Amino acid sequence: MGVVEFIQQLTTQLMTIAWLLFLVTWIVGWAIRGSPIPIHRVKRAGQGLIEDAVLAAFWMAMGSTIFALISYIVSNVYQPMPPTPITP
Amino acid sequence: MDFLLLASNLALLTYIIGILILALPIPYKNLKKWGMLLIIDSISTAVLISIYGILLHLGDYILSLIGYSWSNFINWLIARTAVLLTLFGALTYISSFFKSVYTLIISSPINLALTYISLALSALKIIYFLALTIYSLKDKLMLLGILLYSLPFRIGKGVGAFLIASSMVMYVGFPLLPAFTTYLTPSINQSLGSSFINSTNIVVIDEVGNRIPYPTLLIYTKEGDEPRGVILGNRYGIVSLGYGKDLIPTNMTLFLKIEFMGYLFTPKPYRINTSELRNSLTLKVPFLLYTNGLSIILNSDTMVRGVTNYGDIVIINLHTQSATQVKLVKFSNVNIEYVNVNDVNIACNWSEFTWRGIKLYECSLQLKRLSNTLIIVFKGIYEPLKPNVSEKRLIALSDLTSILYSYIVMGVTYLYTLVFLPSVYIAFLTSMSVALSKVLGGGIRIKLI
Repeated sequence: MGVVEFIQQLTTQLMTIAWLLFLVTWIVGWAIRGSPIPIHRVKRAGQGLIEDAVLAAFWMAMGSTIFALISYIVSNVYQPMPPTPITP
Repeated sequence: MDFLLLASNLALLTYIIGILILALPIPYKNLKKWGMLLIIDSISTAVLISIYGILLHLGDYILSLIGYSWSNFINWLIARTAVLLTLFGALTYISSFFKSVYTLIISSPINLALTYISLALSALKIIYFLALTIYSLKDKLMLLGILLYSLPFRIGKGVGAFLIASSMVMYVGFPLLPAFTTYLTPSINQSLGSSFINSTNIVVIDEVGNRIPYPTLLIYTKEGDEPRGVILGNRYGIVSLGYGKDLIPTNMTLFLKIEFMGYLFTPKPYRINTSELRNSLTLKVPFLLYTNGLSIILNSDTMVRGVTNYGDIVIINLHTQSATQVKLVKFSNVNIEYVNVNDVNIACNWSEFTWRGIKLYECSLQLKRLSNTLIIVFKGIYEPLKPNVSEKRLIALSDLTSILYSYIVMGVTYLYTLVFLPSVYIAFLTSMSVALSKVLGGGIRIKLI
């Protein structure tokens, strides 16, 4: 197994774990937010966890799109160089 | 292995790790920030991977835009090396002059200049090495930089950014080195090989063209001065000037005299300029006839009509304006059967004298006006005797100091141009690389959230 394959495999595994973690965090976040503890800071922490989880899910969903977008923009920018000006 | 593929996979991995950290159910702000940072890093890596082709061509494009090229730079380096080697050779050549002279005052500045030049040569070698490394490994360095840049958790981000930046900056910077040093280099217009004349052979002949054995050449730089050089010729009348023993600057007037068998003669030409010296020069000694160990010294109003030589018998026809005398001078080993002047045998009254360690015999012969015939019969064939001359080789110090000075100035100039300036320049390029690497990765942090 080459390094590239190993990294690809690792990426896939990490991605699965990340999705799971998102779910866990989202659930934990809602659980803390909805818990009958009348402390505002705890509620805020739960809210923060939910926000972070949603943000992570957003970036994860956007991941392939972002990378594709970069290569698309660059391939459009990477035109052949203009002819060299003739120096006297 | 495709480094770009590896780097892009690493970027993706970094991205996922960033998301993973962001998705962790730990409500700790700094950890979340770190995750965001990793996401941004991976995006910037992706951008770098995508513009790798552009980065590769950017250097060439900038170079062609400002009109410099690597081939010109390599040519510049080769020319500098050639000049340095010439200078080195010339100085070694000059220092070889002093091997036989032992003049410490002169040889030590030359050694100093030689040290400077060898230092400049090694500096040039380092420039060569660095430049060729950058030139041939530029794309590999950049690739390695991108790979290091793409490693997760910012392990190699600084180094990677520096590698990318320096491979670009140095690639554009090195061909500009000649332009950097041009304005600061004083022009060197001293041509090296022509500071001193090459060696020359002086052939000394008598009135009728016979070579004079063991002539002593006296060299003056002013008329009527002490001789600056006293050089003994060989058995065949050849005086060798130069050949690692004399140091004669070009464009200097020398006055010559020939000393032979106790007499001092003014040869033709007696005044020469060293710029006119070629491989050989013939000096004719007028009013002197030499044959078989015997010299016949004529007065200025005597002309030689003909010399016939039968080995041990010599017949000489002389023409004089008035009744005058000629002098016969012979080496101590020469035996003469008889001397006949105008069909009359003369009993010569030989008087002995010593000249430069050899014994000589001299006698005067009376000649009548107009035509005379002189017949000299020897008892054998005789070898000439070698006088004991303590030689004084010719070294023109006054001109030498200015030449030496210019050599040292040249050595220092090269040291300055090829050691000091490139060092400054490379330091300058490195600081530029660091600045660019900060733009690429290290210093600037973009905060999206």
